[in-house]
Amino acid sequence: MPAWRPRQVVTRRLGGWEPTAAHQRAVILAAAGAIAAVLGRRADLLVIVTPLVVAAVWGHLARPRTEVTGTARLGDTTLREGAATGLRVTTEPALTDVHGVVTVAQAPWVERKPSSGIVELEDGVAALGLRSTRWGRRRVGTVSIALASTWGAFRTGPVDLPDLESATLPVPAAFDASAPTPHPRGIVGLNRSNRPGSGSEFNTIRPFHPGDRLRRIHWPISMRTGALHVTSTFTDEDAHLFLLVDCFSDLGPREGIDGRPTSLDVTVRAAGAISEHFLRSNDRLTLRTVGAAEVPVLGVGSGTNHLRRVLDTLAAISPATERRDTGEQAVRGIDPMALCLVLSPLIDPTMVGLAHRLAARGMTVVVVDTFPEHLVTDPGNVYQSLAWRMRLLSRDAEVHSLRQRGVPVVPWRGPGSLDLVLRDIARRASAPRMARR
Amino acid sequence: MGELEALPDATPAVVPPVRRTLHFGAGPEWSLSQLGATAASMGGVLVYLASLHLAAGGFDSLWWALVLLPLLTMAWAGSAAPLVYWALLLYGWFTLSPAGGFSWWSLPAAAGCIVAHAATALSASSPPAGSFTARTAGRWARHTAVALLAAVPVAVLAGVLSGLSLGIAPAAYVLGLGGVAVGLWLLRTSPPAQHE
Repeated sequence: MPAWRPRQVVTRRLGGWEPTAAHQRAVILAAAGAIAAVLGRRADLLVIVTPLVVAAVWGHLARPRTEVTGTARLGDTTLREGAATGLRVTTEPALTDVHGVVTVAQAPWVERKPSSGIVELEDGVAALGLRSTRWGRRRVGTVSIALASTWGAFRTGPVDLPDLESATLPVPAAFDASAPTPHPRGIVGLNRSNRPGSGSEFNTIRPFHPGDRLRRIHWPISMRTGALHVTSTFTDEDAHLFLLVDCFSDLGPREGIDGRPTSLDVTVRAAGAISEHFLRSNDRLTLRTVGAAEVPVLGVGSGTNHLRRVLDTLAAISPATERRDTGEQAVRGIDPMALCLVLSPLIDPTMVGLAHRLAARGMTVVVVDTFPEHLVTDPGNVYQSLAWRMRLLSRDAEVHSLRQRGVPVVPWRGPGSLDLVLRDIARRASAPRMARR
Repeated sequence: MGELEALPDATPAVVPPVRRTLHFGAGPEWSLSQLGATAASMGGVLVYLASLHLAAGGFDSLWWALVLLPLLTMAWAGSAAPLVYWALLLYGWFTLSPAGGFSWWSLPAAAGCIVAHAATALSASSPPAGSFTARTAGRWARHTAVALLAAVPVAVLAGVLSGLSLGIAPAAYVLGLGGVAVGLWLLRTSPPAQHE
């Protein structure tokens, strides 16, 4: 079993102990009852208040005299959507005979276990489960601690601990592409080039040249011909992928990982899936966002570390927080040989304009339509579905204008979404074309 | 692939266990533990009123409505409301039971009183939706039983002395008032510490 390794720790002193209403009630009723019993010669009243006298004296004598410090430790500060982590709350010193309650406030997209978010401290320790149900950076609900001494006579808190923060990375949708990436030109990827060299794709069998690796010798041909022959391959190359993410629109109800996705959920998860696929193939990737404020700028990179950065950047998106963004910054300084994938539900005209602008630069652009289908097929809200269908009809004109320019628009369908269009682009690139001499 | 494998994986959705709570209108949700504490408090008041009924030889039926007070004030368990209605109940004993005598029904009345006090204090120490573990409930039950046990020798002593005329009434007054004064001195609360 792996050891408990908290990633984030917050602590705060709970302050002094103060008498509660219960203690004051016991004191007042005991005193008043005893006085009335003595003055009124009511022995039975004295019997009734005797347990209250005991409770008051006991509560007072067992009063804690040390100041307690509360600490909350969050197991993981980076989660995947739907993943759970633990929150461990402790009090120091752990007082005996003290009733402690830990409360974790409700926060959006954080499920608490137990669902009330209230747990009793046992021997100064309480543990809760937290499950993040949607990507993004957010605060875990405020943790507060309250302690009550014996008989609930004295109380400290509830005191709110400093906020704990966590980042939830999007769970990439399933994605795979068997088609080659257009315009490979690096040296470390898995895309086949047209140049012979060191790689994995078979080219031909040719006579041995000085410098050829011995493990490349093809022994059957060499034995048959009497001269050494080697297997030659094409070199492998990496391509550059440019992802442009539309953060203007977040259409549909936000139901988290367990419900129906919004358009931004589809966009972000698709971006994660595409990034994961191409970065695993050692391609280079640039991610830019449009319409979201305070998203860190991510440079070109490759490899698994870059995938982590991409997912972190996607988690930092807050939808439509920069309405004035024209996308100028996002499309500045892009590699002209990059394959541009624009992920958008194509509702905001800015994204359509950006796709046109990239295509006008002569870049290879593919628009991935991330409009969630359930919006137009929702039987629970007929009028809203009708409104979305009408909006999609008006959107068809913009989609048509993109296609007229040669920009394919493909709906996001997960695995194989881009296969057909990438093959078309590769075929188009290898076809004879008219050139100005 | 080391970094990728280090990324946390999505765990399948866990179906949380059913947690039964109760809403009164648009108010907060109440856990079964809190409702249990309120029921115990109501039981304490009921036992107290039954004892008073038997000790006093009957009273106006309106007094039975006081059983509902813990339920009506359960949202204010940490306020002065329980003090007010318990002051009313003790006043009722003072006025309704015959003066100068002693009734053994005061012993179950003491039980009802301390049970209701403990249940209300326990209820006030946790939010409405909070639950108590069996360990906590057991600890409070033990404390309540110990406090109740203290009433037994007092009742026995009062029962024995009630039939006798020892002529020690002035001394008993002085001793009783002295005990109350010492008790109050012991229970004086220190001024709250200044916040930093």
